[in-house]
Amino acid sequence: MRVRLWLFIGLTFALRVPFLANGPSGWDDVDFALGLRSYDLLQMQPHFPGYPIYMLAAFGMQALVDNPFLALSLLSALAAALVVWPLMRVVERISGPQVASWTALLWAVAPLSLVAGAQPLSDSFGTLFATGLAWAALVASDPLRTARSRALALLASGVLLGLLLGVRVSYLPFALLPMVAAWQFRRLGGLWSDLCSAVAAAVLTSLLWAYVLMLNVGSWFGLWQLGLAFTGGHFSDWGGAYTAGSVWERLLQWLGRQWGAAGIGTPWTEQQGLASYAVLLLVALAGIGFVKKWRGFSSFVVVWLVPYFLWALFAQNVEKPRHLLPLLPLLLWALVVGLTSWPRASRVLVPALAAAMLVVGLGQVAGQGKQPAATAQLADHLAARADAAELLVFTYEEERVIRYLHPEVRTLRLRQFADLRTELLNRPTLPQVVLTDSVLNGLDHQGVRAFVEETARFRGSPWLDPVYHDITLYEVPPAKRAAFERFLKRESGGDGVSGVSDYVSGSS
Amino acid sequence: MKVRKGLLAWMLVLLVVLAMRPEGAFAYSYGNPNEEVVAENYKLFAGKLNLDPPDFQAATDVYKQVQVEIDQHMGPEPSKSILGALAAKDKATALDAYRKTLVLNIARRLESIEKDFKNYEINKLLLAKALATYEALAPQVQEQAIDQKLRTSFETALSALGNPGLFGVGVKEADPALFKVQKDEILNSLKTQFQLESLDVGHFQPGEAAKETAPSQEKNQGGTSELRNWLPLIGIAVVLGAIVFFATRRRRRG
Repeated sequence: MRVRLWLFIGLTFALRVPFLANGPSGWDDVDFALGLRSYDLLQMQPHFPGYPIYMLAAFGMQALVDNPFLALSLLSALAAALVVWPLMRVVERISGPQVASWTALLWAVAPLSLVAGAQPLSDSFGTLFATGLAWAALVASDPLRTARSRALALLASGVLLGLLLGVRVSYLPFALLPMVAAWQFRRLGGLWSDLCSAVAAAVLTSLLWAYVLMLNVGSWFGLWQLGLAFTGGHFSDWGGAYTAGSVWERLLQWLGRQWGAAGIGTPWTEQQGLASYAVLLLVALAGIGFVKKWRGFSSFVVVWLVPYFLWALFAQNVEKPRHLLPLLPLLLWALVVGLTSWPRASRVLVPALAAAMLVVGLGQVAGQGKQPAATAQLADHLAARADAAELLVFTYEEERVIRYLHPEVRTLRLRQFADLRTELLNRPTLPQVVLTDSVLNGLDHQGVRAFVEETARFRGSPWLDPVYHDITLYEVPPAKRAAFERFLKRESGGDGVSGVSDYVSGSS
Repeated sequence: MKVRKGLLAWMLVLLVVLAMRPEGAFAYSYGNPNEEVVAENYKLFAGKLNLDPPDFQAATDVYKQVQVEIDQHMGPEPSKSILGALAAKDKATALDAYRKTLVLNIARRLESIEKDFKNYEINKLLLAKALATYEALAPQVQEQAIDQKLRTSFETALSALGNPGLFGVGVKEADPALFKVQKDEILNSLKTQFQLESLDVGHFQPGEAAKETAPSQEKNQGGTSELRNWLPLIGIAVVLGAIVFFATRRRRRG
């Protein structure tokens, strides 16, 4: 078992190293890179809640690697490799060593694990702690273990929960794991004093990083206010069309694209290779097999899966598949259980699934580290233009990358037509107006569309950057400038004093 | 088995409740804690006056939303000249008066940082608000070189406030002398750009800004550079270590 463990850790790491991202691609990775340069919560470097434990590890990695994006990506690869350890332990205990090895093999090659394991974001690192927490919770509630190791595991789960929250607060739903484990622990005759120690350990570990955050902001009250301001904007400061779509459309997109295509490599509009159909076929076989065998799955898995599953569906951004990463091991495990229910054939089926997944995964991650992301291409394009100094670029989240790479380009991030109009009328002469498609499509008043023309388009990979991978640039051509100015000065739709307070307070 | 059934039922209820939320899902974006209300108000105000024809009534309504705050901090003069110009339908004077008020507001923020330089937390907020105010004025600064220089000064001023870092990593010491140089550069440049004779805000009392942004007057030097800030951290670590130590020990004996 030990040899296999190291084999899969090595394989997982080796598969990610050639594809490590080395440049900016979106808001969050720039946040982390800026945080490495100067950790500052108020400046959103990184944004609230500050990811203190993750950033601490990232500081350590940066001591070895100079490029902040490369350092963060390397940390992700290392974390993804280490996930194998708790994962194999958990699966081995419930489904046996053969299933454990195969689950580890799938983790090494699954597209989402491969992509997230080579990106400068905190998900891979968080998944390591979430999986570790699951292992500790399993041991703490395991009747076959000695009372002593149960007590120690419960204590470890307390510390791990504290650390996990210091990596990503959004992984809070996994807190149900140690809670149910504690209940089971008591039923097996565990001592109250041990349970209290574990709770104290969780609280103290959380306090440790919360205190450091407080020091960075300056006071507990300041940290609290920052949290309120951030969550206020986080959940409501949105004026565009992105919230459109019914619950069912959302569910379909989430299951089909994020879990299926991005997660394990099933076919999707942009993913039509033979390998992805092979994945689909094998997943169908696994599904049939799983229906026969699912009773072998313990209630432990339900506690692990369900809270975060619901959280990811309803409270996380469904456009980003990386939010599913901490649950991906469970899906892979279920696939292996399903395939092994086919007697004899499973020896062929699981390696076949791994091979197909690897082909799809390599296809998804191939360009990373070699071609700049669409946002970075956009930034370079704007800075290289002859009229760069005259531009005023309206963007949404692309702004963070533009400002990181080329701070001299003037950008404004907004969502509402009233804001755009105010910004333009506030200038003595109309600048050369450039808009990205995310601003134009999100504006609550589409009158602007009549005055703009498409001038450039930048493409990246939808798998590496699920939101800003296809950016179209629009601008007001010289022939329409005068008319656009008249439009801004006369048009009164989508505006009015009644909306003023919304704008001023920054949320609506 | 009983556990699983109970749990599943509970979760199904949760699922239904969540699915019935009218919006279907949370929208998702990032809020910015550094917005400055008066600067945002000015942008809106200027937008109304730059309509063709200028909408003086709307501009007056917009201004009235911050009048109390401006009167409180800057005295009654700014409001008098701004509202006076609006009543006289004099767009240029009204805009000019509001812009001058914004410059004075920046001066007020920067001066109060200098007066109480140790108050790291408040000062960062004040500087962010000063920068946000400058952002509103920036379109009037015609020369790009001056605009760039001002922004660089703001950035240097920010770094001069220092940084408490994280777990002692990335600590930067505060530098009051460097801050003063940047402050003077920013204010002199703005004074020339917006043709102000003096940046003296007579009505401003030191400490007022601190009151407005934080209810407690407690000063916190912030950061792990100070020894006393390490003590609670060490305390937590020691208690945590003790729990782990005793948990392992007790069992070994038993």
